[in-house]
Amino acid sequence: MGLSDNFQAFEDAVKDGLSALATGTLKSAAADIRSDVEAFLEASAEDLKRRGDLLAQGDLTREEFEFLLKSQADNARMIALSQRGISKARIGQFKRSLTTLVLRAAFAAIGI
Amino acid sequence: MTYLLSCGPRPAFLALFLVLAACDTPPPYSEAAVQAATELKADSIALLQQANEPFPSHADEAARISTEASAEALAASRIPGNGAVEEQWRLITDPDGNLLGGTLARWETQGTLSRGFRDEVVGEVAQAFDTLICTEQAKQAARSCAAPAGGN
Repeated sequence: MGLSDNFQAFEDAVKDGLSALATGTLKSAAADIRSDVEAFLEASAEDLKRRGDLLAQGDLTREEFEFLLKSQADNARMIALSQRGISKARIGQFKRSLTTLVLRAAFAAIGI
Repeated sequence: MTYLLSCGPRPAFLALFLVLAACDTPPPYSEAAVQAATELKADSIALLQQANEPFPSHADEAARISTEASAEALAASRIPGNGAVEEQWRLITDPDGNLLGGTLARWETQGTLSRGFRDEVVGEVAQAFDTLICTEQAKQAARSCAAPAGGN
């Protein structure tokens, strides 16, 4: 099963994870991260689907998939920096949250 | 003396004005920085496309690109108010990160990079350079830099 076949379940799992993230996090920070991750998912859907399928087919390893996910997160940070007004703390937290939530949901959706 | 006293507050106002003006002044646009980033992007992509071959065969070129990218990062850090570009160079060159520096480090560690990974990561590195170039160019046009098109 590829990620593109199961992308809705993947997206739902990431969003459920975002809700759980509010626990133990400042409410305003959680709202920022939620909106950052949702924007990321929307902008990166095609790349995530393609890479998830490559992972499922064995053309990418889990480690390579994770590296590429972090590359995407770094590129999201690059864009945020170009638009200014975003704190280093916020973009750091974004990458950590994104990696945890998306990897867990992607591996579950693919069944590996 | 009378003149100095009567003009006393003016230097203070002038200094305040200059400080406030400096706060609002964007860092200067650099055509040389755009040129260097454009060349480094092309060289980096050309190099990474050969990452199916053992790293030692390309170690000299990898070192040259890393050195030039680090020099650009240092130059960016010396420009007041240029924090965004400085941080973007840091992300691109960081060997513990996941863009150019991290990919070169991975290639060196693993010897070669798989075709699937190589094809995907080249797009990410290219997009990172595009964003940095766009940020630099946006200084000139006094506009914001939206996500560059065609990253992957």
